[in-house]
Amino acid sequence: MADQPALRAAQEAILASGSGSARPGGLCGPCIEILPVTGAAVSTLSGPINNETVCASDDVAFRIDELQFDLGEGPCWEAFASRRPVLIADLREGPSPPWPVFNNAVRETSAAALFAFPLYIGATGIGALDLYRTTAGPLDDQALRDAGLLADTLAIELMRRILATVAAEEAEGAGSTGGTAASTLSLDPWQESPRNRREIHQATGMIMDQLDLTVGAAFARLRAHAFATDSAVAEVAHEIVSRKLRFPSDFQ
Amino acid sequence: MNQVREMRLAQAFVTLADTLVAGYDLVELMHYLVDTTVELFDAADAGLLLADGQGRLDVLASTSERTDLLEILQVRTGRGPCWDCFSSGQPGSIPDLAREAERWPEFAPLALQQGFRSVHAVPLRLRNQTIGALNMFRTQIGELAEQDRLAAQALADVATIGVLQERAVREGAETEEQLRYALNSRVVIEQAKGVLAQHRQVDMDQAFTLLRGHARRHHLGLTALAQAVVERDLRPADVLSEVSPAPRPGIPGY
Repeated sequence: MADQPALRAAQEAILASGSGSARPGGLCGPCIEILPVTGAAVSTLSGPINNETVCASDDVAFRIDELQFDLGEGPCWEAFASRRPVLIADLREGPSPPWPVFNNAVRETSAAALFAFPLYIGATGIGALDLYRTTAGPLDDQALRDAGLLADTLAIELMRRILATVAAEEAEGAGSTGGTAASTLSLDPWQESPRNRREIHQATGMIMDQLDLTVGAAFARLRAHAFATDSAVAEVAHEIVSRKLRFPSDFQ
Repeated sequence: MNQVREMRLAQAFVTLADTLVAGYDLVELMHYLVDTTVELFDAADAGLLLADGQGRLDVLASTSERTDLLEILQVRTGRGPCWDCFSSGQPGSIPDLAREAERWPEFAPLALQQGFRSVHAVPLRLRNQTIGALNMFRTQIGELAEQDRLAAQALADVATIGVLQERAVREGAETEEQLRYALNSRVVIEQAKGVLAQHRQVDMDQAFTLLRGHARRHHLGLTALAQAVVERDLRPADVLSEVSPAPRPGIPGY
């Protein structure tokens, strides 16, 4: 449970995380510092294909995000759609949530409890904050309130970073002609996590051409293949981009 | 205020309220407001100044060219009763223009010359925020009756809500659009690179060079071109590689 000055300090740290005076830990650090959780991940959500983990405090937090992106189900989607927190106090013993595939997969991680908070500014949805803990049990009222306030702060900071990028690109005309950002290391300049889903998008494009499919169908094909071979979508995408795997000849 | 006018005022509020519920055109709303003001408050003309997001005033609506001129004069010089009303957030008036020539050396003579004798202004204000002023120009001298001033202020208050609401909706939509654009443009470029890399049997960097070269030669936005490839409005074979742009030195992958 955080006292008021600690919460305030965490909010300030989040709002300063993109600036020169940023402390290490980025967006996620302040959250795990004051909330009674093991790890946190912040993601942008924008439809079935276009999602990215902006930051993850550890591998488990990253994996929980990835599973939800790959499977298209899970608490972050529910929180985003309903605009309400989704709280799973006990992943193993508690009542079965309405996402059986994700539930089975997430049980293979060390997470015992999951808490997802929507990131919204007004009516504009940006993403979700996923928190996990290695021990089961609910978040107390204070932690729930604090997490809600941190989610609001995260939404503001994330929106600020994204709009600052748009403004900077418009200023240098990169959005219309150059587009150097698209070919440099980070897929999204506002992103902190070094891992991104860029190869997934590239592989989706390759499958479009290989099988003459629309982008949605190509992505579905990629996801289905990952599911059938019990791999992460990113792993399959890497195989495709490095041309070790191609559709349709290998798997028809 | 007599009964007929009270009824007209009530009708005006109903019209304004209806306007605010449905979609509305801001300029049209402001024109309705100045027309109603003239009709209800025995003014010869009325005008409306509105500040933009940066606090610059502009004439949004007026009932005649001659008030336009007066409003523009105030905007240009940053002086005048309407300007004072806007900057102070308080109602103001010049009950007799002929006696105020010293205080308003530019405004008073011009207003008199246009045939006006008195000017009255109420702010467009919501709580601490003043966004403009509604001005009434009359051909007789004297203060506006207190009842009329209150009614004019009530009209201005409704207009204020209309303006702020329209701005909030517009800015909200713009923000949403920019957000979606930022989140989607990079993904769509990666997908288009994939299509080209597969179709042309080139690597991702070469695919990007192709895409960018085509965008430049055809003066297309990179995102718009990528979108066309991904939506299959443009065949990958038509993204042409000849006349490659000069490589940019020192940047790997170009």
